[in-house]
Amino acid sequence: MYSAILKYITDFYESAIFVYCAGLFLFYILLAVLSLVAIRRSLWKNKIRGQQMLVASPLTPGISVIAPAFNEGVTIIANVRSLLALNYPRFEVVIVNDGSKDDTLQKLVDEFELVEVNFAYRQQIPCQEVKRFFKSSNPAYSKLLVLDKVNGKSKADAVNAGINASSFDYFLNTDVDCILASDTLLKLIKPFMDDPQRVIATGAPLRAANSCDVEAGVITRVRVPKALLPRFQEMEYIRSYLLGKMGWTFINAVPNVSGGLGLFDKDIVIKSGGYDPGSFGEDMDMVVRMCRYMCENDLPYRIHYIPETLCWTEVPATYKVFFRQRVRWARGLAQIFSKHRKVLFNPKYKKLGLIIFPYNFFFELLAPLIEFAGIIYYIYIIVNHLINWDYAIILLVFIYTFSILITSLSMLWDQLIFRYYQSWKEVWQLCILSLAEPFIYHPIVLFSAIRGYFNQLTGKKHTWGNMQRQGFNQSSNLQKTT
Amino acid sequence: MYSILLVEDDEFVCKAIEIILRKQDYIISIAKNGQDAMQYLQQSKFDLVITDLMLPYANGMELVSKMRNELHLDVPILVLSAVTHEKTITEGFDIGVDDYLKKPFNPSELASRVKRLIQQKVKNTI
Amino acid sequence: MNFMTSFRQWLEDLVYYFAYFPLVIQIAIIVSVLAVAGTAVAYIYMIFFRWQKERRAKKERPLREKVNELLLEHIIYKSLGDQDTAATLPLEVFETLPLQQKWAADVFKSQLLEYRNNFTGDIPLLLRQLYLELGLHRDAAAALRSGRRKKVINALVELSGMGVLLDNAYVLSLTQSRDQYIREMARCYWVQCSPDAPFAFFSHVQEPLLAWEQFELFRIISLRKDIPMPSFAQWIDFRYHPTVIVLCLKLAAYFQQPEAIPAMINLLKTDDEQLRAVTINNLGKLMALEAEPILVDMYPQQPDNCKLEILKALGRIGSGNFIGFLQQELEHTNDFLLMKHAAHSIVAHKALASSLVARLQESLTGTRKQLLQHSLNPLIKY
Repeated sequence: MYSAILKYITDFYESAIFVYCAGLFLFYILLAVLSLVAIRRSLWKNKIRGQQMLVASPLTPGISVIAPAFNEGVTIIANVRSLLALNYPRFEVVIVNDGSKDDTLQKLVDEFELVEVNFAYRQQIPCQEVKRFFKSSNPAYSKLLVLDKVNGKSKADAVNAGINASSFDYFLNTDVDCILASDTLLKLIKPFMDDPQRVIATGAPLRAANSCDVEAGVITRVRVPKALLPRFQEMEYIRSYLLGKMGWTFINAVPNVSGGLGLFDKDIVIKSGGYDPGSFGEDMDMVVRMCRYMCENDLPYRIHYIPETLCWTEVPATYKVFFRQRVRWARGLAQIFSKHRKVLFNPKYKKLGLIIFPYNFFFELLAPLIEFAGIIYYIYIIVNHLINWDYAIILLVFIYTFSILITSLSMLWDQLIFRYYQSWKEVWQLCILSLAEPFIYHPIVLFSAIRGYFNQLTGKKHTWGNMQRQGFNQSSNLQKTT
Repeated sequence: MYSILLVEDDEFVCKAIEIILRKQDYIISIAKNGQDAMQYLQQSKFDLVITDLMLPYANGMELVSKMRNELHLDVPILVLSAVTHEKTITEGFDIGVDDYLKKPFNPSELASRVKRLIQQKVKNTI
Repeated sequence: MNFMTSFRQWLEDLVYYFAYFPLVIQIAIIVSVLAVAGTAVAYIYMIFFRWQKERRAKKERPLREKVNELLLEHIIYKSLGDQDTAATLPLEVFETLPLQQKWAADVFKSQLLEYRNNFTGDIPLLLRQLYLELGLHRDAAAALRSGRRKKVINALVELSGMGVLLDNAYVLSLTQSRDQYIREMARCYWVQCSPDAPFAFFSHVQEPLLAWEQFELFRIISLRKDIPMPSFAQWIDFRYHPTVIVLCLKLAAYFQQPEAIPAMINLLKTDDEQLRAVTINNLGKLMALEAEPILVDMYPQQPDNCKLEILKALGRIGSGNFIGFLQQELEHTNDFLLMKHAAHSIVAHKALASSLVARLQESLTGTRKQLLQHSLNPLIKY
């Protein structure tokens, strides 16, 4: 009797898992095809609609570039300077000094000849108090506005302050340590201009800056990260942007515009209440709330991703920092589903309720749990000698080969877009890594996710560790050239 | 023989201007960005500087302001840029730009403006 | 070795017993095989693609350099010399290039376009002449009629870039095409190249002009120096599509055509708030003195975005006649943005407002005072 029930449960579990995997794989294949079409379409559009026209046009809309800074004294000057040198005819740079404890502010004041001004500021979305405003007395830096605010313990809070002080209708949300391509603003504003529907946000892929050559805040040569952990992340970024986000763009179901780089319609962001400082995944939460606002007011909208990488950021290089980051991301995802519970399967929210949320619920939120349960199950049947080794190995090979296929396809798509890596060797180094991913990288991601959900359930307070910056490859670049 | 510093990051434009102005018997030095330009300016004397506004590292405005305020140079500055926003242009004149030419440009117009700016400078120094 | 043989044995068993496996396992095996094959194909294609790109770049580089050399020597140099020599082009020099091959012709055309985009004056005309006399337009002309979407669009882009108008009637009909891209490119092409009636299609635009299209048309029109600009007021009329009206409002302001002011004032009656706001904005840019009393008069009934534009326009026109109105808004409105723009517009009156500004600095308090100081500070632009 007992064994019959057990048999029934294991049979059910096995076939359920198989159906789940098959569904997930089908989705991946679908996304791969869609993203290829979206990438090709985007490249073709670039060819026929040049962006250079935007530089000269007096009609080009203004953009506020908002970058919060917390204890960035080491690199702040080079990074602000590179933001000021962006190729765009009409923009301002709003640096939000989020209560830094180091000399970030003083360095800015000295370098850019800043003076305190009496700035008329209106708090439209909630954030901590802004104590002082600075503008440069040198007309060459007239684009720069620096805010000195009380630390709000989150990026969301600082960005909100920047939005409150910004002057233009569009804003770019970035980080002061992100290195942007000089055409970033031109490329990101384009979808706003050439889509018949109202575009509320655009984004572009990010990559790891860890081993790139950087000179005074500008990338001079893109390189694949040398260390293993950042290299895995580079691979994962390429896959998730080129195969995920581009595919979702095609059916207008982009789930998230990442916090490192995104251009937003300010009006909609303000109407949806701005960033939530209490959220662990404030970027996705923002996009979800923007979509909800549009749906609730019956306004058609689009969110676009473009395939060209425009932003390089230093990704965690130690396992400890990486683990902490992923715990936070997982917790953010869990939080979004508990906060926006009523969106799931709700036809009122159209694609958000019927595609984006269900997909993310089953294949992002539940995936680590199902996988974790699978591992426990395998251990159980191994221990009890119930396992059919042939079948087990076949199923493992099935999952393994498929995951490699998906990664390889994203690498191929990447090659179609632009030759970011100069040498063959670098491409090869990334490709070969996909073989090791399921054994080394994936388990860390899995366990950090489980930990994140656990923390969310128990309501554990998150410690906001600062990412230890190592500084980019500035000095090693000098060595290389000499 | 007068010498001109050209600050421009677009290779095509660089090459074209170089050839146009060489034909008029000027000596041309080329800097690809604001930092290189500053180095050139500290090392040697020029009779004219032609610069774009959008440059990597340090933008054109910053370069102009540094030339006027830090290096105290009175060399004429001609801005050659695609930007047509009036505010940007007037701001440029405020910080010490002498002339402004829009991209795309007419080579003969560039040649004549360069000639005029250099003549003016020569006249002023006599 | 031992492992390899047992692995091979295992694989052979797999094939042998395949038919007896449960369906799930069968599917898993098939998918695995497909995945391995797919991965292999992906890598092979990647290698091939990179190799092909490199080879093409290698092939094209010397030709590009050669073309550059020739264009600089025979076109750019010439335009710098006396104007009369430009009439004869040294065709024989360019005929030495392998232009009968498609890839070479493509390289040559892309260089011609790059030169045309970077220079004004005689050079674009010379390049156009060169393009025609070398017969490079024939492919595009054929593609234009091919009926294949991408080919047609590419041909439109090429011909419009070269400034060569072929097939007038057909291109004009394409401006009505049902395909968004063909329509857009045909319109740009038409505006760029039509010698006598570049704005012919304005009157029958049915679908909205995208912001992008408006930008592109605006740029092309502002660069056309060969024709006198028509009065854009003729399209500032309820009969036409709102996006055409918007474009013409901006053009009228850009070319400073005061004769458009009555049509614009008439347009203020529109129910479309967005259109009304743009109209007010451009009245300001045209410094339409006669519009001031009308704008002030209609102010109380307007939605916020139009109110904002009215305040801005009053600052731009800056006659000083309604400075009292701006003062009243600054002192009494509770909306931050309206307050801000009232302050900005008062300051924009410069000397005319100096005594008022001094008085307001004494009398205002709180946010209102701060906004006035914000506007007065030359370091703050917006």
